Amino acid sequence: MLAFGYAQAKDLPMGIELLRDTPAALPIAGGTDIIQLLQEGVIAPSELVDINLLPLRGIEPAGEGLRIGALTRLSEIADDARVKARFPVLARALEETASPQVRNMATAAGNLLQRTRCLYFRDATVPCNKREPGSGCPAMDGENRMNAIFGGSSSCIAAYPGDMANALLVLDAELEVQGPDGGRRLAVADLHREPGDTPHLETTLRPSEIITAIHLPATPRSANSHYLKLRDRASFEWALVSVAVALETKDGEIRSARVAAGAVGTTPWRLPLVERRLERGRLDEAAAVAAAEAATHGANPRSQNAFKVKLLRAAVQRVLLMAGGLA
Amino acid sequence: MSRDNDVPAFEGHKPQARRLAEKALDASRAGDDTTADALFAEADRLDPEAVADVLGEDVATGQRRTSRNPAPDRDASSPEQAGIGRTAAPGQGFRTWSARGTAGAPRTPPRHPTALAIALEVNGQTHALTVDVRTTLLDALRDHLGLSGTKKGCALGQCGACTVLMDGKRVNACLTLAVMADSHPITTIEGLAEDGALHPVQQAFVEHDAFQCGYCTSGQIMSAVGLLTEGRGDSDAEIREQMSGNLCRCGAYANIVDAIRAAKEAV
Repeated sequence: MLAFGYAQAKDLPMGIELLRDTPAALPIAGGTDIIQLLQEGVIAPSELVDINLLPLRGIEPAGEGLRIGALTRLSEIADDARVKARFPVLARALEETASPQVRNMATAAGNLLQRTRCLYFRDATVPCNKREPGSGCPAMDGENRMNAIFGGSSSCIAAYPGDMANALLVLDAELEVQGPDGGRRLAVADLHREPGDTPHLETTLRPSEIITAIHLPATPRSANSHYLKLRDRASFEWALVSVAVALETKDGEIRSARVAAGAVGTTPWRLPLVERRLERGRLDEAAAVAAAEAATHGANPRSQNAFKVKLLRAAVQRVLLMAGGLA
Repeated sequence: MSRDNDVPAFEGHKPQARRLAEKALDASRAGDDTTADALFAEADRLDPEAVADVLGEDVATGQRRTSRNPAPDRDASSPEQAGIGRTAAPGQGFRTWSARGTAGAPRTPPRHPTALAIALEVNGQTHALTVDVRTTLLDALRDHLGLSGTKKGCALGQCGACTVLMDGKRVNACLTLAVMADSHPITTIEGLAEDGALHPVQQAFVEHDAFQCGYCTSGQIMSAVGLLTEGRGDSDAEIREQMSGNLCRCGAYANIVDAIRAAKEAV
């Protein structure tokens, strides 16, 4: 680990100023990903700006929905009675995230900004276009079992590994962001960038911006929402495939649907074709099978991850049956 | 013979795959799933990335933009844009972020302190110490305060051997910097026993022989104390799920679950 400077921000303007004045600085909150990256020599910022003192922790009502402060710990969100009752997909996704220890430390915004688990990105001794632009991508024909089948480019196929972002996609969640030029709202759907030929640029955040909150609007779908995570072991493991779904139903008919998948795309991945198929009728086994069939159009698997194509279809089918009370 | 500039560059099967995917999408919108699936399958064979693009644009026009087509944003598309792997000031570039210190890009020297005087509140006692800011809480406990009961396994948050309570909650001491733990009350395995009497969880681990080599044991016990404080562990399945952050390479899990169940009944 190379030496870095440490500064503690006492309030939000000071945090933004510290980031602006020291451009090679990284904000640190829970630290659960950043300290791994430092230990492995994957990143070497000139300073860390500790933002834990900023008053951004807690969950409060916002209109009919909820506003989750950026520094709220994952366990606090997963255990919140309002989240469990009204946004169950989010509570479930977080219950299945990491370990109890990590959930007590990791923050809401930090979770969204966690970096890929691609083996080559995490190994500083090998080339990686995300870590060292232009150095190459050994994952293309290497150990790519965990890599993406959607949204890859010729320079990067690293999968977005998180759970919470998939749930937030189907909840139409928005972020509050503050920066040197003031505040703005940003849909979670617009936060992550596909790699293209700049895989080192992962989000649409601007220099020195800090995510301050996540807004969960109340929608006709949010309370009927479900999460399924499939992995190599039962707990404390990254997803092979995960699926979030939120449905609005009336008289047994699906009025509107949101479906998103995790660990299959280079970003959290919406499945619009599945949504459209669902929005046409009742949710029964045949409908779940037909909708799941549409989940993998456009998939581009590599040498070791073609299993994700089948697994994604199975996971979509399964979570829809769960949503319909059929499984 | 000179090259005819009017001939467009060969784009592979992309244009055809796009056309097929767009037709497939029309069929899908019209409710004709059979036709849609057949057309998508053909397009997938030609160029799946083109299909993914068409589907991404579908989300964009239907609901809102997605990350597949982020909003045009000069700031965001410039090389100085600040993603997570964000760059330094213009001209310094991404290389300042790399631990490998690639040639041609000197690393920016730190402007803020690289060592700090802190106060760690451990097991009810306040310790004043000066640490390199890189020091993890785990290393501060073991190497600065001599509290070696907290174990170092992976140093990456994967094994749980370093579990301590911070502000009453179980955390991985290896994933916290000591400077970030300043003024937060910490309990380690050394702080559990009271007046020479073992904590009920410690007692239960002894009675149920819940260890073999013992290396993971202090982490297991601290995690179990955290679990009980959180009011969890109502079933064996829940105990197992809630102890997933603590690995035992000897495989003493069955007795660990027995011990935690017994401690829950005793507390």
